Amino acid sequence: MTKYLPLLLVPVIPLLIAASTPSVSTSSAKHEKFYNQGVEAQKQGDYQRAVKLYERALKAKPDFADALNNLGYSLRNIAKQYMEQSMQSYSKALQIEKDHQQALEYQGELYVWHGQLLKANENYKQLKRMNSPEAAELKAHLDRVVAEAKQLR
Amino acid sequence: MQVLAILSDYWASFCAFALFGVLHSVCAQEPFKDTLARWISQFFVDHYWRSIYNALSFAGLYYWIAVLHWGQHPDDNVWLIDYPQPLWRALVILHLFSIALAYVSFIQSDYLEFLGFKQLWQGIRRLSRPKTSTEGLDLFGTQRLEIKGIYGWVRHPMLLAGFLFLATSGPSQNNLIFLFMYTTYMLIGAYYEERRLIRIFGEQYVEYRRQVGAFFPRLRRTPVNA
Repeated sequence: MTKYLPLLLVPVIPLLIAASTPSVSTSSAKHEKFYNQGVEAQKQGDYQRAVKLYERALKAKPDFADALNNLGYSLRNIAKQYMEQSMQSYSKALQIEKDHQQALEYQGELYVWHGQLLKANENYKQLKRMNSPEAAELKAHLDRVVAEAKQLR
Repeated sequence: MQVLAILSDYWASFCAFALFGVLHSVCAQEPFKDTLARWISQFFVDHYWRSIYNALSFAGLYYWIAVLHWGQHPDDNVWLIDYPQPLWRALVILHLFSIALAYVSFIQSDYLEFLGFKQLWQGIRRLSRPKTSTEGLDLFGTQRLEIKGIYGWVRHPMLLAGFLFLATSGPSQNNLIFLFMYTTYMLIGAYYEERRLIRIFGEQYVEYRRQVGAFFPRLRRTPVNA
């Protein structure tokens, strides 16, 4: 049987290739695949799993703005206690890609939730300047809060 | 340090698979079956042990190994490498071939007998009708040496089918590590299985081994005399 020992290399070689090429095709495929799996989990409402998968995608590619944006979205859907982390994710995503439309919208929504309406309005204006469809969604959130505020008197 | 990381991540499934491999091999060996026959009865070993052994093996693989290996690492099912399309097509063909190989060898080894159903049925018949013939079954790998058909090409077609199936599955970390574990088991298991077959069939098996490769067909070979 010893002459068949090289068969053990069949699984080892792909593992070595994957481990030794961190930034070329393997790793880029890896971060995209984790991201795509995260999106699937998010669609199914499994935010805990989505967070784990986005974190793995970010481990492979720390400046992955889409993953940061979705991480923020999933975190705030798990529980209110993650709002701060969620805000940090959006901020990081916007540092990497300042015109990331979805991150601007989600960050704006979070501002609305925190009562920071002026900051939310800044995000809205930026989205409007970009003719982004996300502007209308953020505007709807802002309008609803403003309408509720008017009823306070 | 990747190796250490993998060892610390997968130690539970490594240990479970090693224990499974040892138990799976030991329970198929004649000394174990002889001891079982002394403790319980020869009738039990001849008629019921094979199906119990298979049920335990299946349960062990499904509820123990798979849970510890794939179940504990749900995030490691992502493929680590994107194979080029031509290579991927070739792997898909090999994957289908492995299923066909498993099917052919399963049929040739007499699957009812391999799963232990034939022995079980005969045992039930003998219990319900004690006057039934006491002629034993001509069992594959114990009383009957299969050396024709697919067994005329390779000595361990089922193990080879398992290897090809796993090697041509998606290259995720979980699959590749399991393939490594399986290949280790395949080599050790085949070694002990051959020792057992030589003890039972003697020179006939030695001659068969001389002519037929364990996992790869020999290009230049002389026909096996049945």
